[in-house]
Amino acid sequence: MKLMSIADGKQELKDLREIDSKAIGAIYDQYFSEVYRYVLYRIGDQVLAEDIASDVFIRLLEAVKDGRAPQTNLKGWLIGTASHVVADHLRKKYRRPENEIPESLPDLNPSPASEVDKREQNRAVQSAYKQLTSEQQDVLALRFGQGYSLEETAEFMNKNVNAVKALQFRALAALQRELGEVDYE
Amino acid sequence: MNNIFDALEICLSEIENGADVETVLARFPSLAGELRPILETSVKARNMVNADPSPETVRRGRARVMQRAAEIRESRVAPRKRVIPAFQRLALSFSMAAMLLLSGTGLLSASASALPGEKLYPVKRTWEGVRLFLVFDQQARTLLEDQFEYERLHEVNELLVEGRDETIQFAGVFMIVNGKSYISGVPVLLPSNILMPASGSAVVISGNTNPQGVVEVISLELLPDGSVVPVGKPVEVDTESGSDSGSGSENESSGSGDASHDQPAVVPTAVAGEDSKYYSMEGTLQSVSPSTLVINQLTVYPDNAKIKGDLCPGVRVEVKGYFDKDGGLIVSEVEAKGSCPAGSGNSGNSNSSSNSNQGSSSNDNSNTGDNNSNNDDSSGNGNDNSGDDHGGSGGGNSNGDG
Repeated sequence: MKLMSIADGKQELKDLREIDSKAIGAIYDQYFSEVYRYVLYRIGDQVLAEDIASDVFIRLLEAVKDGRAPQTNLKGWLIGTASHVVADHLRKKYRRPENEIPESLPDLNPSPASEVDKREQNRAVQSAYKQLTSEQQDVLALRFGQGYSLEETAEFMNKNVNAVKALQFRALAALQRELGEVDYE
Repeated sequence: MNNIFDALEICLSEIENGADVETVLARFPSLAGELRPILETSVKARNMVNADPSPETVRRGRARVMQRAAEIRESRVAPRKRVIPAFQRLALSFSMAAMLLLSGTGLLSASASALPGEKLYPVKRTWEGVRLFLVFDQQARTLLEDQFEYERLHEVNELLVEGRDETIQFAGVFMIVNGKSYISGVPVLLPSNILMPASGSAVVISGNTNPQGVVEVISLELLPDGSVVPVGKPVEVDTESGSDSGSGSENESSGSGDASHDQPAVVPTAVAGEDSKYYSMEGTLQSVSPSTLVINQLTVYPDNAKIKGDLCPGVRVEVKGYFDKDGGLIVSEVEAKGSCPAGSGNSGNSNSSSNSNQGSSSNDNSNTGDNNSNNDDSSGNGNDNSGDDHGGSGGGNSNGDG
């Protein structure tokens, strides 16, 4: 996936500042799926992902209204905001613990036994993933959920490339450890 | 240590491009033991829950976002009256505080009556800004803003009385009375490039006062329905009730085209001896509907009005009422000063054939928009009739008074 060109971003941001419905619609259509997938990967709940993803776009409008519109990279701003909203949500959720895996986990293909196994495995991965730190979850969501390059991930996380390399190594190692523990349970 | 991170990144890239775990590990035999479980986990991480939003999800989110965008756009256009931005308020308060320290409160009291163009006027406006800044209660703040709007209107009236030429800005109700434009009682001249708003519209204008006692409008902005603006005094014109013999010359001076308007421009005048908010006016009723009356081209609004006599187009009436905040005359009493003309249902046309009998009918005739076609008649008969007409209507008045 390519980095968004700065020129494109500037045009988008210029249109956005006008709160022009056409421009807003175009921005939404371009980025909603990406933001939604990121949020869904992070929290694993479709209903919540829908709410949070659209909330990110509403926050964008509020930011434009208050003169705090993103200055350079719109996609980076959206993913960054999604990351903050998810982190807020998780903080609140940890204060009020719920069942480990939400029932609304994507279960899109009712399926044969092999699919059931796969789903079970996904649940296990999901469960292990939730034990990671927010930063580790973030790097996995960006690299493996979104498929962003190392450079893009570094930009979105405001880190340098080497730091992201190290972070993804530790995140995968932590996930593997957690999966081992999940497997034993 | 960097090696294993770089090796992992290389392996991940190759796996993403279709290579299998064992093949990529073969490139890093010394790290294979450590990398293998990591790479296997990365495959699981890649396969973990991920799905595109359903079309329904996209649609719902889109609707929510677009609605919020529309609200924001609306709030941007919406016009809350010249709210002073927070930063400006802060700046004003600091400058005012500095001024107070330097000059004491005497300066403030001296500035209270300052008018635009005077040296103390900026002090007055600055002090208003500080007062607004210091009011945190929204309701109290709105009241204060309204008070300042009234003050702007008062200043304009003062400038006009003094015949001064100053730049001003104020808000009010636009009205056309007798072919002239007014904003909350202030006579204004609209340049041809400004579209004339509907009578009764709330507007804010900027312009210049001139020595002739008129505001020359430079720009005009329509305020939304429901805006609170000062109403001002009712327009004071040299009204002739119709009983004055001088009305004939008035008509002549108003132009030959208007000679047939033997019905003088009637504007509401304050009712003497009563609460000053009440006004009365007398004129010919031009149309009647359940919610409005049109009298001498002015629309008034009956509100549980006490009605004496029969109301029909063409009859002379006297109304009493008050102005609401939008500048509309709300009528509480209507009194017919005569009986309905015969065949009043189609008074406009039928009167033209029967107006030789009754002065009041000729009034109606002059009001129906037939002025041009009747010019010849009215220039001859109109003046002759004016005595009769005014006698007639004057009689109506005297009857009413009696």
